[in-house]
Amino acid sequence: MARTVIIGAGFSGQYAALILQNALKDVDGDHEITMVNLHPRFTYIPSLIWVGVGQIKPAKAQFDLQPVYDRLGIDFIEGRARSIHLDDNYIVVETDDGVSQRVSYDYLIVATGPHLDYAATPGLGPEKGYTQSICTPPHAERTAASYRNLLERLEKGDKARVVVGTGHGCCTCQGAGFEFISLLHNDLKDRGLRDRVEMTWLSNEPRPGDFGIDGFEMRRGPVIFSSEDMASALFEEFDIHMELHSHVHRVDDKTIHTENARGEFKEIDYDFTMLIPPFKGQPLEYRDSEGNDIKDRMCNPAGFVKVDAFYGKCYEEIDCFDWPRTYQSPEYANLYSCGIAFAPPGCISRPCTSPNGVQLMPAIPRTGYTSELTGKAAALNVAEMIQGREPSHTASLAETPGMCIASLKNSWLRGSAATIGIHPIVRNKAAYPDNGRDMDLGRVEIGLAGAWLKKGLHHAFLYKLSAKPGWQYLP
Amino acid sequence: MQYVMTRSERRKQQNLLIQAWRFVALSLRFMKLTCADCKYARRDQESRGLHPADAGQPRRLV
Repeated sequence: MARTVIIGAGFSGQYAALILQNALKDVDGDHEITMVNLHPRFTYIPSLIWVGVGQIKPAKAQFDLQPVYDRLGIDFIEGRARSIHLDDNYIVVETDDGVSQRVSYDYLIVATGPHLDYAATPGLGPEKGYTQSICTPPHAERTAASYRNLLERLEKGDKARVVVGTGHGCCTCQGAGFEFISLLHNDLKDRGLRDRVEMTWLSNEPRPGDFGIDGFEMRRGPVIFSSEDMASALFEEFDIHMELHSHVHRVDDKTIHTENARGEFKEIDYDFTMLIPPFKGQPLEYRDSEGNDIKDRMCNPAGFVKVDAFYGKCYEEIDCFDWPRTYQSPEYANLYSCGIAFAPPGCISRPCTSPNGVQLMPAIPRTGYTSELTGKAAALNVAEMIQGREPSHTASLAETPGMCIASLKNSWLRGSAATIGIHPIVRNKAAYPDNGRDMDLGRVEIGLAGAWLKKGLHHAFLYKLSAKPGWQYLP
Repeated sequence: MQYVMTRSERRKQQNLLIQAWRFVALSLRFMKLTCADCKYARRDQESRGLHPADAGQPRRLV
C-alpha cells in the first residue's frame, strides 16, 4: 500500500488528485490519497476578475471539496501544511483550531500555489496597504466594494484616476491585470462614466502584450501579427495610458511611486488602483532527519521547489531543454512539485536592471491549463513509481501549449474576449528554429466568440475538477 | 507594424452568425492545441528538437 499526500487543491493539486485516483483504480493494493488544503472550497481563480468588477459572486467560481473527495475515496485534511520532514516522510499540518498533526506519506506532491508577497512593496495590498487585489475571493470582493464606491463618486459628477497593473518589478500574471482594466473600461463605458475616468496601465512588462511570456506571434495571412500589436491597439482604442517596464517602490494613500527601466522616477496619482502582487513560495519548512532546515537545498531563493530543471543559468543561456519535465525533485525521488509551486529555471521575458539597480523581471505565468498539465505529469509519475516503474510522463513548458482567454467584456450578446493559443509556452528553438513557436498553430482573436468560450471554460473547468461524470474525457 | 482593426473586422466581432462559427473554430483550435504535444512527440521521433535526456528512453507526454 502506498500513501500519496498532495498539498494544495488549486488547479494542479486538484487535477493531480483526480488523475492519481483514476490511475490507481485498477492497480493492485489499497493505495491512499490525502489532500491537505487550507480552504474547504476549490476556487476557479481566473473568474475572480469578474468578482472584482462586481459581475459575479465568488460562490459562482467555487465548489466544496469534501463531497468530491467522499465520492472518490480521497482523504481530506483542512489545514495549513507547516513543515515537510523529507527523510522521515511526514508533513506537519496545522488545523484551524491550532492543533498540529503529523501526516505520513510515501509520495508527496507540493502544489501549494503562491504566497502573495504584498510585503515586497510598502503600501501594496488591501490589508496593510492601499491597493486592491483580485487574487483571492475576499480580496476580489473587497475590490468590488471599492469599485462600487468609485462608481457612486463618478455618478455624483466626480472625476477619477484608475491605475491597474503590477505592484513590483518581479510580478507575473500581467494577463489578469490586462483583463481587469479592459473589464473596467467596458463597464464604465456601459454606465456612461468612462469619460470621467483617466486610466493607466502600469506594468513591469518590457512592451505591451508581453504577458511574462516574451509576447507571441502568429501568422495572419501575409503578415505576422504580434501580441504587442494586439495590446497596443486595444489600449489605444480604450484610451488607456501605458507606463511600462516599471517597478513600484511604494504606494501611498493617493500616489504610486515608480521607477522605470531607464531609471526615471515617477509619481502616479490614483483614486482606485488594483495591482497584482509578486509571488513567492509558500512559507513551508523543509527539514532533514536531524531537524535541520534544508530549504536552501530544496527551493530557489523565492521559495519555489526545485525540480528536474537546470538551474543557475543566466537568461541568454537558458534553452528549451532546461525546463522541468517530470516535476520530480532531484533531492528526494518521492517528492514532486507542480503548478506555481515549482521553481522555473528563469524568466522567458528578458529581464533587465535599471541604472539605479532595480531589477525588472516579469516572471512566467503558469496557471490554468499549464498548471493542470504539470499536476497531471506529477500524478502519472507517482502512479508509475507506485507500480515500480521509472517516471516517464513529461509536461515541459517548452513542449506544451498555452491557452488563455482574456475577458474584455462579460456579456452573452455584447461581450468580447481576446482568445490566445500558443505552442509551446517557452520558446523552443530546437523544434521551431524561426522564432521558437509554431506560428501556424497559434491563434489570437478578439470577439464575442471568445466571451462565450471564456464562459464555457469557466463551467468546463468547474465540471472537470469537481469530478462530475465523464470528467476524464475533458482535456 | 502597428495593427489597426478595420471596420469590417469590428462588424465581424459582433455578428452572431459569424461569432457562432468562430466559437466552433476556436474550440476546435483549442482541441488541436491540446493535441499539439502529440505533434511535438512525432517531431521528436523525427529527431527535431530531441531532448538530450530522451536518447533511448521511453517517453510519454501527458
